[in-house]
Parts: sequence; structure tokens; C-alpha cells
Amino acid sequence: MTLLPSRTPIARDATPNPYSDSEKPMKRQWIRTGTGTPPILLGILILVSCLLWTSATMAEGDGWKTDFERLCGYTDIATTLEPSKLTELIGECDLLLERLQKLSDPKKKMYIFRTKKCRDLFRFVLETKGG
Amino acid sequence: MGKLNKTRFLTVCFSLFFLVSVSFAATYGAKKRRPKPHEYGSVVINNFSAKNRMRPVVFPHWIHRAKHTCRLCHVDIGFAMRAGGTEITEEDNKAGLYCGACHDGQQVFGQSETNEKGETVEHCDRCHSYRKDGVVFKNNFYEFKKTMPAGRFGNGIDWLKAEDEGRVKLVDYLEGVSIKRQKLKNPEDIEISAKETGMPDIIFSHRKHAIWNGCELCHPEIFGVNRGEVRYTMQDIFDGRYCGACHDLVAFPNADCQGCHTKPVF
Repeated sequence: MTLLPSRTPIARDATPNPYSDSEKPMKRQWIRTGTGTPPILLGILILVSCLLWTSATMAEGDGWKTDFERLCGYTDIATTLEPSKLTELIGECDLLLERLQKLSDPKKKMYIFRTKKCRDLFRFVLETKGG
Repeated sequence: MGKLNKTRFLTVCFSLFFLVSVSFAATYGAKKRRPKPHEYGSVVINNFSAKNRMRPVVFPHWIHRAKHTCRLCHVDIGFAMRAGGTEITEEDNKAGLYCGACHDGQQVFGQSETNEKGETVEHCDRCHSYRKDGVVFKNNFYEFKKTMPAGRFGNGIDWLKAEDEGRVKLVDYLEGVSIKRQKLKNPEDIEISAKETGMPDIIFSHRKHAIWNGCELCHPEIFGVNRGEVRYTMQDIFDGRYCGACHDLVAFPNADCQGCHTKPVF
């Protein structure tokens, strides 16, 4: 009969501990002394912040880009639109520009340029129609 | 006494002639050197290059216009119509903006690439090539020109005919950059009467311009005026305004009168 290594606490206690209290690995020491709590909390805090920032950025990113594509999608048919619709589009472009100015995305420079182009075209067509 | 009057008269005439000459010289400027066919349309971009001890960029319009519509770059990618107006930085390109929208090392050559031997090859001088000898470009203008219908001015290529014959196929959509637009309603062509006696009137092909440029490239930045509201002259066009924003810079030059003044006289 083969004796399997025992996993009972009694057997573990029977094994001589290779470490004295002062020599125990660092990991065990912080749990025991509580010195590990601040780094763990800090880690959790950073993780939560990252998740919140990512979700906020994604939500923000999706929103403005969808609006940009919808608004500038009208440029090729701008001449067929009613003055009331053109006025509405100009207003929406202005709001979008305000949102774009607040972004931290490096691409905002390009989207501001493009949104201004769309807004200016709508204004031009509106003026042409005497609006 | 009579001799003195004659001298005075001649002095006044010469002075007047001199003043008139100077005023006309100020209006019309000095004669420009005509660019060579491969240089026509090239733009030197030097917003930050020299400050960062790099050679300025020489942007060859010909190879880009042979593949893309004007709108793709000047509306979708956001290149300003005025040279140097975009203020492109290295960071912009690395972030996938402007040149970096295509020059990313995958679609077309990027800043560097790894060759078959595993060595990194830098491509800086393919763009930062101003007054640099020995730069090896992938595309040779004169080889390309042989395959295109001949034009009389500019690049020496009839770009309109090249597109009509299907020799160039212009891309108007870049994934991740361009937006899906509603179908363009073809605008009507416009007839503009020439003010010069004997000069045929202009038939402005709104359709052709709109297909290449969209609406927002020209209106209102270049043509912010209602039809017939502001009268512009050939001098305005020579000075780079209105039609001159493209014609004489990239599109066929103003010297090609028949390019625009096309209405049959009889």
C-alpha cells in the first residue's frame, strides 16, 4: 500500500516549516500585516476608472459619429431639401460642432473640418433658396 | 522757348508712361515659369518639416488624382484647398489622419516597412523629397503618361477623356473615413456668357464637377455666390479665385481657353 502525501492540516503541521516568520514571502506578509490593502484598493480603483472611461468614450464616440454621418449624408441631396429641413440641419451641425470641440479624440480636427463643410453647404443652399 | 516747352512735354509724357507701366506691372505681376508636365499640380508642404530639420514634402497631385476623386481627399479626408492650410503633423499621420489615412503601410507605403531580410526600410524621402536627388519613386510619370490620352496643357494628359475611356477609375469611398451618402441629384449644367467680344460662352459642366467634387468642396468656400450675383473676371481666376482655385493649379490650366469656352458660336 502506497501512502499518498497527506493534505490534512495535521500532516502539514507535521512538516517542518522552511520559513521563519521573518523570512515568509512578501505576499503572505502583506495579507497578514494589512500593508497590501492600499495597493489592492488602488488597483481596483484604476480598473473601475478604466472601465468607466472606456464605456464613456465608446458611448461618446458612437454618438457623435452616428450624428456626423447622418447629417453629412444629406449633402448630395441638399438642393432638394425644404428650407425648414435645411435650418434644422444647420442647427444640428452647430450642436455637433460643440460636442466635437469637447472631444479628446485626435481625429476631432478632421471631423470639425468636415462638419463645418456640411453646415456651410446647408447654409449656402438655404440662402440660395432665399431662406 | 518753344524748345523748352517741347522738352517739358516729352518729360511729362515719359513720366506718365512710367507711372502707367508701374501700375500695370503691379496689377499683373511677373511672368511665372511654366511647370514641367510631371511637376504640374505638385504642392510643396512645409508647415513643420523645415522646423523639424526635415525636407519639405513634395505632394505629386498627378498620381493621386489618377486614382481618387477630388472629394475623397478634400472633403472626406479633410485636406484644405489652400496649400499648407491643413497643417498636417507627424502625429496626425500616425493617428490615421490625412496622408496616414492611406499611407499606413498596408494600403500603400507607410513611414517604414520590413523587407524580406527582416530589415527596417524607412520611406521618409519618398514624401520629404524637396530638392533631393536620387529618390526612387514607385511611379514614373512619363511611363504613366504614355498610357493616357494626350492633353495640350498642364500634365499633358486629357484627364476627362481618360476617365470617359475608362483608363482611370477614380475611387470615391474610403472605408472607415468616407460616409455613405444619398444618391447625388445631378445638377444642371450652367451657361455663362463671356464678356469678351468674340469669345465663345462657357458651358459649365455641373454634372462632371459634382461627380468629382461633391457639392461641399466648391460651395460655399470657392463659389459662395448665387448665380449671377457677383461678377468675377478672368483676372480673379488668374489670381487663384473661383475657377482658378483648381484650374491652373491641378485641373487643366487657364491657357486652355477651349476647355471652358466651349459653346459653339454658330
